Amino acid sequence: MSFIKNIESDKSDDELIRQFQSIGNLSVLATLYQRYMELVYGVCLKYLKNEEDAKDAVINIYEELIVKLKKHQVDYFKGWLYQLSKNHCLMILRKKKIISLYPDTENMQISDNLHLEEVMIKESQLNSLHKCIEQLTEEQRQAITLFYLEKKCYKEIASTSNMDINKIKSYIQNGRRNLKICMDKTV
Amino acid sequence: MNLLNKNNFSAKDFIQYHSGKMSDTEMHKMEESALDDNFLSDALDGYIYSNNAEKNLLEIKNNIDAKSKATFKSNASIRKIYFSIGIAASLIIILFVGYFNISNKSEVTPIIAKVENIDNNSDQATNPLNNITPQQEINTKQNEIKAKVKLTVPITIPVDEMKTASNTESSLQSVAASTNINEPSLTVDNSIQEYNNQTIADKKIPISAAPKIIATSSDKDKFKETEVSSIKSVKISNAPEYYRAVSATASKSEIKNDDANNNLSSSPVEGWNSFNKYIRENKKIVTDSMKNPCKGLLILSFNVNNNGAPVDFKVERSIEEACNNAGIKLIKNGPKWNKNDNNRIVYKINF
Repeated sequence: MSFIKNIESDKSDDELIRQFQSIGNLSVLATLYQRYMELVYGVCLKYLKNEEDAKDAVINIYEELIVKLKKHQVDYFKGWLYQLSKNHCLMILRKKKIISLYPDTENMQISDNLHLEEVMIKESQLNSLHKCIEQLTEEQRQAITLFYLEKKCYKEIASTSNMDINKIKSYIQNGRRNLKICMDKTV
Repeated sequence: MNLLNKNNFSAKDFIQYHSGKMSDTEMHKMEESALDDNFLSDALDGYIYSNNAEKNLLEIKNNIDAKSKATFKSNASIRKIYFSIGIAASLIIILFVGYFNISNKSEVTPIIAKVENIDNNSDQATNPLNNITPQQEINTKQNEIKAKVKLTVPITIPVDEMKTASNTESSLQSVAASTNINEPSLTVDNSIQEYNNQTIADKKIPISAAPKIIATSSDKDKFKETEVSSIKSVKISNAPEYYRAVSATASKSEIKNDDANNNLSSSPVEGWNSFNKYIRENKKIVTDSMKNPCKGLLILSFNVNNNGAPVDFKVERSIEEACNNAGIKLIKNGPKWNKNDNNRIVYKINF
């Protein structure tokens, strides 16, 4: 059995999904799920804010996964699992009617994937990037500069700028979005 | 940090991050990754609420492993049950098929015995469909009346395999030709039904191999009962590829008088079989030459005059005028008739 697990652990997510969908072997699904289980637990903790509830949710999400993964064609498992986990937690909160207790920063976060690093290392674009940074608001410019150019973590930025960590995250995320828009215009 | 180099963070990393045991560089690395990965970002945020993350995660892992093993075991036992059921079902099917084949080969029906009595006098006929003369028919009818046959209802008949529905008739004829029997065969005009009780027009089906008895449906709607016997129906199975007889029901003819001739109505001089054959063969010639070929059931009634000619035609069920006239012409140009009474003859032509 451990030999089988070792073989399974070398397989990609897609291979394990195909294997589970064709054979229905739950040990294959367990191997796949346990790759992301710690992330799922963290997501559940964030939304439910209770260790016992989060623990139950992680197990329930696994059971939900058994049913849904047989039916759905999943192209990118990690993203799909994130959405499934989040929706599961939101449903729990909806039932408890405490959905409104989210931190303000939640709505300010942007989910697009920016490859900002790639942009920044391009010398030809560096000038326009500096111009775009100057066009950001004071808070966003400060957060972006400290985080990306000076490689400081949130805690360091918070200590030097007297800003709340959640606000720093928001400034960075919104600043990234504005930078992308600005860079798209200039390129 | 466990997996920072792979950009793949574990619970231990999240705990270290929140407990302040991580360097600023490592924290920055994680935060940078989290900005591009919402899953990681949310998870990182969540671990701030956990004091026993590692213990809880171990419990979750054990729970999931236990579920997987339990389901695997139950699946294995279900597979065992299905396997056993499959073997049992196969054995039952094999036994059933074996019994079915044996029983079909050995069955002899009551109706066969009666027909043997009927046809003791005639041993000339070799083709049941074409070679019965009018005199043989009359002899047969008279013998049947004398024997006062009581047929068992219902009767079971041997199963004769035939070809598909579209070739049923020719198939039957080939069966008849290939069967070496001394007794004359008898073609019985009657109704043939499919398994769903739908009647099939103008089809023949053997209901007995030796002596050969072939039931023929005269049309879709009615039985044409002979005076010999009245086979009410022949049920044939409509398995995917073969039509075959599976059972027949019969009843005694109503015989009121020992003198058969008194009860005979007008009939074709050459006998019904010959007349039906004439209609069958010539209706195609008539309709093929028409611009719009006829399709459907035509019912005509007519009288027979003293010269044996069909006269005074009436269309009981019409197709269209050209087809009606073609049917009338067909009967008018056909064989002559013996006039035995003044009753009108009703004849159906299925185009």
